[in-house]
Amino acid sequence: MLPFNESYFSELEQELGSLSAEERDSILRELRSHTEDACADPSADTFTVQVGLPEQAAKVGRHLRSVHIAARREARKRRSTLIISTLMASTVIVLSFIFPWFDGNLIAFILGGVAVVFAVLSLVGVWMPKPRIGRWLVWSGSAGLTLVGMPALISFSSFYLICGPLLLLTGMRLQRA
Amino acid sequence: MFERELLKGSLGLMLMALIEQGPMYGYQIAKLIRTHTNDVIDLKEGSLYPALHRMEKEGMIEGFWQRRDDGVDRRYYRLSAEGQRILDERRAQWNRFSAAVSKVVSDAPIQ
Repeated sequence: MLPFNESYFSELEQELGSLSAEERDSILRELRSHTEDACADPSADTFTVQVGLPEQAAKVGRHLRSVHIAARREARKRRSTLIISTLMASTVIVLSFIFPWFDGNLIAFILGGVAVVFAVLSLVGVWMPKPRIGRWLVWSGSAGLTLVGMPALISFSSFYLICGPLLLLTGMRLQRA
Repeated sequence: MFERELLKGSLGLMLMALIEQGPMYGYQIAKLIRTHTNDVIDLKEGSLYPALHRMEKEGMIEGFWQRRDDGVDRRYYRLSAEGQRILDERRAQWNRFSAAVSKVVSDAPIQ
C-alpha cells in the first residue's frame, strides 16, 4: 500500500470535519469516483491517482467518524454539566429566599439576599455565550457565594460553602476557552 | 503557488462559470481549471468537493448522481436559475474589480 499523505489529508480533514456525517459520506463517495476517473485518465498526475485511492479516502472517513463520535460525546457531557449547574444555581436562589426565615434575624436576610445576587451572577455566567465574560461572571458569582457562607453567621452557611465551589467547578468547565 | 485566501475568494465564481457550460463532474471541473489556467491553478479535491457541496446547499448549483457506462456512479453538477443570476452578478463585479486592481498594481506608471 502507498504511504499515507499526512499533509494532504490533514487539509481534507479540516474541510470535511466541519460537515455533517451525511455530507461527509457523500463527499467521500465522490472522492472514490474522482479517483476512478483519475486512474482512467492517462494524463492525470500520479499524485492525484496515488492519494485518492479509495482505501485512503475510507481511512479519512473512519478517522472523521471517530472525531464525530468524540464531538457528540463531548456535547452530551457539556449538556449534562449545563443542566447540573443550572439546577444548582436555581436551588441556591430558591433556598436563599426560604433559609433566612429559619434564623429569623436581619443578618440571615441580608446574607440570603446577597447570595441570591451571586447565584444569579453564576447562572448568567453559565449560560453566557461569550466565554470570557462567562468565566468572569461564574468566577465572581461562585466566589461571592462561597464568601457568603464563610463567616458562619447563619445556620445555612455550609450550604453556600458547598454550592459555591461546586458552581465554580462546573461553570468554569463550561466556559473553558 | 497562490495564497489560499486568494483562491477561496474566486473559487465559487470559477466553478459556476464552468458549470454554466453544461453539467459537469468533479474530476472534469478540476481538470478544466488546470488546463484553462495552464497548470497555474491546481485545485485539490479537499477544496473542490466541499466547495461544490457548500454551493449546492446555498442553491447555486444542483447535484445529481448518474451511472457511467462501466457501472460506476458519478455526481454531476448543473447551474440552478438562482446560480445563473448570482453568476451574472458576480461576473460583472469580478470584471470591474479585476480591471480596477490591474490598473493599480500593473507596472505602468500612474499618470
